[in-house]
Amino acid sequence: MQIIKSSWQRAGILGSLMIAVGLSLPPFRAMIEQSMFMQMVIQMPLLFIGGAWLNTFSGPKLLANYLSKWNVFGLTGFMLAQMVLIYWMLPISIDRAVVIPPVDVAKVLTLIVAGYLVGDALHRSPAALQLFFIGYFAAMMIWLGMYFIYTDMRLCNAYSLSSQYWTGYGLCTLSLAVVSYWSFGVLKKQSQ
Amino acid sequence: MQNSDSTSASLLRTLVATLAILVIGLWIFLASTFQGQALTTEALRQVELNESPKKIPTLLVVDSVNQETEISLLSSNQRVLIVDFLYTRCQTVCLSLGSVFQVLQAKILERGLQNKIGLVSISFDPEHDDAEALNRYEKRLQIDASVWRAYSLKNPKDRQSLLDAFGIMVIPAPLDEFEHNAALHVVRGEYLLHIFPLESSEEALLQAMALGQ
Repeated sequence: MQIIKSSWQRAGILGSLMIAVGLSLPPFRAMIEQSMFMQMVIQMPLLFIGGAWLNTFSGPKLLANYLSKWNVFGLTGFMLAQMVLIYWMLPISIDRAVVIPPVDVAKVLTLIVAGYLVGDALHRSPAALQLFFIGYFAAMMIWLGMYFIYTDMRLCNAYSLSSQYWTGYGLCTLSLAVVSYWSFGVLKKQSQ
Repeated sequence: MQNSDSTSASLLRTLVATLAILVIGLWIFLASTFQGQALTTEALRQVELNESPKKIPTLLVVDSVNQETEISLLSSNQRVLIVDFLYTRCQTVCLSLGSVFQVLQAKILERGLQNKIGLVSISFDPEHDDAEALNRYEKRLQIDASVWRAYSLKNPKDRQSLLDAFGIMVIPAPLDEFEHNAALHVVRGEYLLHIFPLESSEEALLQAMALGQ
């Protein structure tokens, strides 16, 4: 990603991060407390995307370059991000984030970091490595999404069954969006 | 040459870092899921109890004839209880709870176990569920008082302590209803010993029988 100079773009990036973080703060916190969809399909991806956009600032970019000795092909970054994303897909983690505020703080921070790491790793890594991590993650989201749609077991004590059902559709949609976005990026790069 | 040396050194460092992340990640996963046994809060409630029983708090409840009792005194060491939590207006999960309890009641009567095993339904909605509502509930479900009794909290302010003590999470649902986790809680004396999912009512009964001996 290129360093963005214009101030309105920066404002947009910081704004979306603020919306994502704001969903964990009162009075907006009620939205994620009531809806699994809001937490998993809106807030978590916004945090991740906001984190990825941090790479357009010079400070985070410098840090990433400094860490690159430990992050050849972005492998370390991908692995850490994968761990974070898997962890926040566990129903027990989602419940805890609703009930225990420090866990929610950890969720917000780790998802921003995960986004930042993947945003950086995407331009250090060959397409095959990207396909491995992104493909794995997309498959996992589809699998979990289908399970949410078809099970009649409530997996989160904090959320209703209908909220879980709609989250299932949301995760499947997100998965398709991620794969499409990535494929489009690869094709565009090849045509240049 | 210098360059390729530093590249392979970086690659080695990267692999070590990746491996370390994998190990730490696995450790965090195991630590927060009870060694991988609990991916949901409901499963965690069950496996945690198997390690250590939980003491029941002393809260006052009333029954359908307005008699007060300490909740921790409902069970004795001689009479094991299977407890569920509900509100009597409930049209969703409590209906299946009700039918599970009806089946259990029939089995207990059939095997003549009512002196050893009892069933208790406790309402977490004391504002609506007074003695009269409990009475209606007992009639509607054809509750046999020698086996099964319904109770409600005496003081509405005890609601959260009751829910926390048993690990019940109640969330508001449309049409002034609640949605909550439903399970079978096996209680002996002042201790909550086991939790079984609704589908495992036969196991809960066997466990209660084993404990009662």
